[in-house]
Amino acid sequence: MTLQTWLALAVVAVAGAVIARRVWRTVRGLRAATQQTAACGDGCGCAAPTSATTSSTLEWDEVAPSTTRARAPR
Amino acid sequence: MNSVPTSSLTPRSPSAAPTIPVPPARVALVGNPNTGKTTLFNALTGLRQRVGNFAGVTVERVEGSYRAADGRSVAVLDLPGTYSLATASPDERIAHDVLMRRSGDGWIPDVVVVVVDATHLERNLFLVSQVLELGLPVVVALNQADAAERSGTRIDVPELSFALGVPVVPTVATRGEGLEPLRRAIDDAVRLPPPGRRFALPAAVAMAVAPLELQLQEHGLSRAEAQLEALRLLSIDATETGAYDGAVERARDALRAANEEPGQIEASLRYAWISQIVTRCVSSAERPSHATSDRIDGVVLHRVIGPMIFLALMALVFQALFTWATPLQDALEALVARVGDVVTATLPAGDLRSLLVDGVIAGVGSVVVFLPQIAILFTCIGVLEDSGYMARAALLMDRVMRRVGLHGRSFIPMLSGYACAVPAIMATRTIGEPKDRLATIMVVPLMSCSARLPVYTLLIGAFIPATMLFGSVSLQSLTLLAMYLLGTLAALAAAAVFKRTLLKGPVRPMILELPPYRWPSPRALLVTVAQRCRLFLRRAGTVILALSIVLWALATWPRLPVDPARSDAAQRELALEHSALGRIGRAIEPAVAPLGFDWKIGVSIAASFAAREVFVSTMGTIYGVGGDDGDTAKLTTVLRAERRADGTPVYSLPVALSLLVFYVFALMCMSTIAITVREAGGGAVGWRWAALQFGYMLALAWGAAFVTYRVAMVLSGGTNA
Repeated sequence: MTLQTWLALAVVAVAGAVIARRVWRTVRGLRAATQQTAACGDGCGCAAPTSATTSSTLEWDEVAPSTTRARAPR
Repeated sequence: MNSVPTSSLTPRSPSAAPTIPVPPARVALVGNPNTGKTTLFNALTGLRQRVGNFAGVTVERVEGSYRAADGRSVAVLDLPGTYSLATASPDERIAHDVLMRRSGDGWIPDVVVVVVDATHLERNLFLVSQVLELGLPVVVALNQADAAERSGTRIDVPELSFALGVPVVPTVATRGEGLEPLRRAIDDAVRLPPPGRRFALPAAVAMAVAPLELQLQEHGLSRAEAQLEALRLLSIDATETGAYDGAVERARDALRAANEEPGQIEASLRYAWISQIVTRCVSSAERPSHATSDRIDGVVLHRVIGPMIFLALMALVFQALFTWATPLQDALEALVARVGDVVTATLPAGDLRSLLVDGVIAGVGSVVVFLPQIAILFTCIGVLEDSGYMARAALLMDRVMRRVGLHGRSFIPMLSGYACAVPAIMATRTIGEPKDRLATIMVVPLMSCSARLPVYTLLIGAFIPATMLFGSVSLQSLTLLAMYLLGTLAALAAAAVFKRTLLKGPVRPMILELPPYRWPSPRALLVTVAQRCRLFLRRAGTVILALSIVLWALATWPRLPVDPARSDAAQRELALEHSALGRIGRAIEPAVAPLGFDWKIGVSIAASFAAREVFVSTMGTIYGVGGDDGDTAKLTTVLRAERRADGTPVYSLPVALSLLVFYVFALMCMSTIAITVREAGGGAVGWRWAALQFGYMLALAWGAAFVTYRVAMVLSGGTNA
């Protein structure tokens, strides 16, 4: 294998790791959602989220608003 | 004041207010919707949270901080808007729980800043009167003080402060005015005596509610909280008073015996007090006139002219997406091609060069060129939102929404869906009725989001002629408008089905506050558009980049031994089919062949499950790998030239239309599924709704694409050309 092929493979491995990490974070977020109670907690059966719900782990593509704790720019 | 979470009535251990005044470390911002809380939050903290000129922009608590004069860090919590502490919707409950010191993470504010719209003082003081009774240090930020002055309303601030018993600070959050006095007032508030109820209950009312207050105190509420809660319990539905049913009913009976109407007692007492304050503190134009807004509304909300204006505005937006973006897009395409040429010229032929040119540049570059369209789309949405038109559009659509069984409030999240389904689904928290909320969540992804825009513009740009109709409207922009309308109509139809089957329920009337028309703030608009462009580029630089690299690898290996008998083009095509990606594509092909799609389209659709734009980058990568070495021709040109073995074009008009229709309906977005699971209740319930959403949208997409392809084939004479 040429040097170019080795380098290309290294880049592919890094990209694969990035995707795997994102999939893992999404799965973790979904698992957290799964563990959440199936209702608002009032027993009324409505699908309202609990008040302290944050979306910090639902970040497959960074579009999910995850700014519950934002940091002020310097 | 429809419902109350019984959780708010559950006992808790009393948390005493600090006895020794310490500088505040936690400040909560509350207020009615659309009073400028988030604008004030941004001004205080230097953050850039999304703001808009309509109610319900903030649906989650957001935390930031600022440095006080002594260097201390003060955490600021921006809460969703609420008209009162009687919660009706999930977003209001978030504000309620923090103020009642029941938030799950134990976040208890040291000071509450009630942001009040100075142009609607009377209505805003209702919430103020409730917050004063919480026993927490309170500061009132009299926001939009400039607008009140312009409309001729004079507010006697010292008198108002005296009447409320708390500091009142005039602010103009949009210009950052009044921030320093506000920060000082926050610091001083903890040293002032805690506020409380500012009006006395009539003797008959006091006697009637006393036993209920006692019972609430026995369950752990402070005296002030018990007084507040007792009044609130009297005015809510009899079925929602939880453990206090008996005591509430006895208090109601006692009030009726005293000729008082229990359901209206809280509102009448508070508004009587507010009326006195307004008489004392507000002079001249007590009710500010919104003559200009009213005149505009006379036209914009007209039964016939209103919908026509709405459609014309939408047509203008889509026209802008094609005509204004074209020169910028051409420039970006030229830049991407130039970068590809430079890399080709610099590196010797090999895998790394192929990865960079055919994988990274062809994949990411094919998506990045759509940046101008994204910027124009969000500029248009921003102008419509900030001007106050979006709330009017919701009102216009209320009649349609009611016909399909949805609440008019559902339209704002649906409009937000044009940007992205994820925040749009979160925006459904403003809908109080759970079944309406779920129905809206289920249909929001049918609204064409900005991630579909690159797919639409690629296909429309490549296969719909740029003919001008009536001399000024391009056929391409009309086709784009048709795609958005198709998604919207499908969303309404799907909502009608859900509301008549799984989510049957009464249609409730909509009460929507119409904000005054304002000139959009260029700075806020610029910030929003810049944020969206940054997000788009970040996606291109992260998810899309990584996927392009992996797809390049899949399209490259395993390699096919070179056969000198074959031409270069045939060799490349066979190598692509022999690769892992080709094999995956061939496995998918039977499912998509009835829609007119080949394996390359099938694989691109499957990859776009990560993000819809990945469809474009995957096509870029596939045709980059399958194309001439180092060639960086425009993707539209490559697609037009692509031929099957029999010489017919792969991308005929029927195929392009079928693909467009497929993307209108298909839920190819992992983030949307994740957010649906959570917002539909989490757990197995959330998963079931998400699975139903994905399933029905996929079935709809497949069916509609199939019909489109077949009909288009028949209309085009039965050929694929």
